[in-house]
Amino acid sequence: MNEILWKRYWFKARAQRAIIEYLAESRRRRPVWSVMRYPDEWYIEDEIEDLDVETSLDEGPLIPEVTTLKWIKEPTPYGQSFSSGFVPSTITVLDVSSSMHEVHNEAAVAAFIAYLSARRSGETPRL
Amino acid sequence: MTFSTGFISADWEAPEELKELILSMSFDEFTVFPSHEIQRLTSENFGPCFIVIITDGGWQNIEEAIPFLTKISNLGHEIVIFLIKGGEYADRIEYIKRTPRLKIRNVVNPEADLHGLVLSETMKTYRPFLT
Repeated sequence: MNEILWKRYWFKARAQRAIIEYLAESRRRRPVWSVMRYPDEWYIEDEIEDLDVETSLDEGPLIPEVTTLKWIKEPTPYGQSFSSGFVPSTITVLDVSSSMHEVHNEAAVAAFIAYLSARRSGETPRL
Repeated sequence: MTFSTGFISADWEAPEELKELILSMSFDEFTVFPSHEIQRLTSENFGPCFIVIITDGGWQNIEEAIPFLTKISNLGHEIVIFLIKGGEYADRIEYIKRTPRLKIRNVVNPEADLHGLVLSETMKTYRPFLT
């Protein structure tokens, strides 16, 4: 049983690394959402919609170009998007018979890859 | 689920730790494909399942297993079998390969190819939802 406990962590770590490497390599920039990074002075020529009145009032009475602030926005590093739709449930079926003995470790890591991919997607995997 | 002569599976609501422990087990016995247990799990689930099978294909009950897999694939469940080369089961493997609607991925060199093949197939299904 002790061996199984250690194997669990080993298989899982290898599978997680494989998934992370795959996602990092396949990631590409997409149209992105912006995130507000830091406040900056708001000037008369800026868009009125950019003026953050609440933050500006924290600086004191509203005095254009003195206490007026806006937020500098930056795109998120890799982009974010919503995905909607049906996420299929996963059943991971791993052959652990004697004929699989030689390749058991690789097969178990592969099973963890399938299981963890499903779990990361928000689905509750079955085994 | 892991299987050999018997099988161990986790229910839908089982804790993650249990599921991961099951995937870490090894029995080193005979090979009996757990059709009835897969049937039970799919019937309890709402909607189609994505079924990933990692095996060398030496199923001793293949005459029962293939019609079962054909039946549930016709119900809309997606089945991918990663067929690891190495066992001496040429007739059984040919039977699996001839079965329509089963997606077979041959794994000639498991050390080099298996993880990438599984990643590729699972990402086709789950990539849009991964965070």
